[in-house]
Amino acid sequence: MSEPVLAANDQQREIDDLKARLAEAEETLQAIRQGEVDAVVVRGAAGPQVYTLHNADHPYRVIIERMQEGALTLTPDGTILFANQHLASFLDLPLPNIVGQKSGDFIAESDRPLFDALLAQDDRDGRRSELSLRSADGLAVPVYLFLADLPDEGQKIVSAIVTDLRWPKQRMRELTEANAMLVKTMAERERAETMLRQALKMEAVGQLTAGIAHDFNNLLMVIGGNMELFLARTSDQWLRRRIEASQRAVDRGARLIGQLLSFSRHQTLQPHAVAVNALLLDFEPLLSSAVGDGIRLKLVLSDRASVCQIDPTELQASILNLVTNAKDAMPQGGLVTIATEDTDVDGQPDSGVGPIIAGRYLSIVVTDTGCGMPPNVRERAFDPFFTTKDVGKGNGLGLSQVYGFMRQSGGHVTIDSAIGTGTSVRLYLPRTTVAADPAVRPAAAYIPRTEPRAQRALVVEDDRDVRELVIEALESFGYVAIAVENGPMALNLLDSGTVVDVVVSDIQMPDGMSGFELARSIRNRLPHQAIVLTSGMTRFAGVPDDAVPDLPILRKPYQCEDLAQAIDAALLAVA
Amino acid sequence: MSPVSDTEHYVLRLYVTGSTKRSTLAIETVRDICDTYLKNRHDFQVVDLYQNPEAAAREQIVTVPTLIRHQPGPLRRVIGDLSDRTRVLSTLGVRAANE
Repeated sequence: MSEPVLAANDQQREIDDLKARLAEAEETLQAIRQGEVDAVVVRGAAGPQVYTLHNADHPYRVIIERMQEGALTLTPDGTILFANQHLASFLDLPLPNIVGQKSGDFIAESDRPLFDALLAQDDRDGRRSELSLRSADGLAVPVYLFLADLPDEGQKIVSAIVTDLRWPKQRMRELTEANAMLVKTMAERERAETMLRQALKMEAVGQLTAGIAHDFNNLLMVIGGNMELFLARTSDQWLRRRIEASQRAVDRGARLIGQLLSFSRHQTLQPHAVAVNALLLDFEPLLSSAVGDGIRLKLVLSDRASVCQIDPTELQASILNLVTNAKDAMPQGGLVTIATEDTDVDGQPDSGVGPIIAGRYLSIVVTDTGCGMPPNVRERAFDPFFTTKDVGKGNGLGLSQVYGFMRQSGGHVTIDSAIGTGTSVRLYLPRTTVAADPAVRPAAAYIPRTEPRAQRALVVEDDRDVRELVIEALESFGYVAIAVENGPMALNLLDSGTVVDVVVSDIQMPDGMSGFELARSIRNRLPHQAIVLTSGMTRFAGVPDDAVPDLPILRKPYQCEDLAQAIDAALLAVA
Repeated sequence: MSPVSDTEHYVLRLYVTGSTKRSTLAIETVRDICDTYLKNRHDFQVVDLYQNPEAAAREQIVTVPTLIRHQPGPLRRVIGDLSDRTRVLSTLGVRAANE
């Protein structure tokens, strides 16, 4: 072979070799350009290194962006090298304004020392804490931060995971509020239950006393009435003194029963539309003398002439009761104030017994500057027979009477008292829009006796002894008396043509017809029939639906005198 | 050499690719320059092209990382090894106090 031929073969081989290497290089470049490779191996300072291209680590990027926490990487001195979209939304800033900045800018100022300390720690300490970030508009964002070192070629990089605590904190706040509401509601429930128990207790005692009171009244009626008849039949002084003593005992008995009945709310009330301020002004002289010299009485009346549907006699008795208690609480003297004001109620007062119905009331507040009551006395103040006074000085019925009267009248009463400060009793009377009854006088007007003529009276009474007594009394007035046991019998009598000048009927009777019903039936037949109703106990609150208007009611036990007057008044009314 | 400035406000935008070594070094370098030489007179933003690929086309980015000086004008680009502080300072036209 010649040299040039050898050289040509060598050159050709070199060319082929170069071509192959070129083709390989072009293939590599092509592959890179077309994104067909995951990574490139590069000759680094410490040996070959693998450089990952974009799509190869795509799954990891997706995880970082999709996870529900904020993620970032930091240099040891706090420069942010990377942050995910979540963190941007915490801070309410676009990512370009976060990456490359100092992390301290995004931490609430008060938490920066804490963050710096966390950054400076290494992974052996629990590198996590609650703290607050600072968003674009300066708001604190509560988060939980967890830091960890990222090993990276000798250079220290720190990764951080940021968990949003706003919603958990919100939930916690809501839970705490709900819990507080629950505790408050339960306390209110307990209070309502206590009030209910107390009211039920009072009601039960009331029922008991009402039953006894009614029977007692009839007994007193018999004794007192017969005493009156004795008195009319004898002029023997010794006998008369004994009889009068018995009458006084009957009176005391009657008053006691009255107190029991009013506590039990079974008293017969005669409500009128009363201008309360006027009533109190009228009553002031009596109150002043009741209070005595050492104590000043002051009336502070509202400037509205509000009207309430209330029994004026009982109201005055209640006020007198309260003023007397006030006097007893100030043995060294002091001031009693009676104030009135319109009060609209929509909530529950704290110091009453039983619930108060929302509505428009007039308050009468009796306040003293006396010794006050400790809480255990105040709680029992309305209990019947509860008294702090000495034996013989008080029977413990006064306040319970006031309570019963107020409840029966559709109102309420509360006590505020503290040792050393004095006591304040507030009566709630329901207001009415009806105009006041003119010239309402608590005492019954005196009707002069007419000459007894031979008139006929029909007596309707189920109690035999009382019936006989009433007949006796009527005959002593000069009446001819016919007596029946019940309403239906009375109606039969009248229907059969019997004519009487006056019907005297008890209200509470058996056989299904009350005195009211009888009176209405009679009026239907005989519109001008004079009727007198008597009551040993009638249970109603306020004005009962079946009451007959304008028919006054004589309360047992009554004097024969009272019966005579009532009959005269009834005759006058229909004349 | 571009005109040197002592008081002018700098608006800088750095284009990176996620958390690669070069990108993070570039971020650190520019951060350091801002804190040292451009205190209180800079606006520095970092745009991650993985997050925001359209930005590459808009600003005509060819290699990554690239640092663009938008203010003071005219526009200047710094490419290549951005961890070289001196080179970056010089291209940006920032005078080092002790030079």
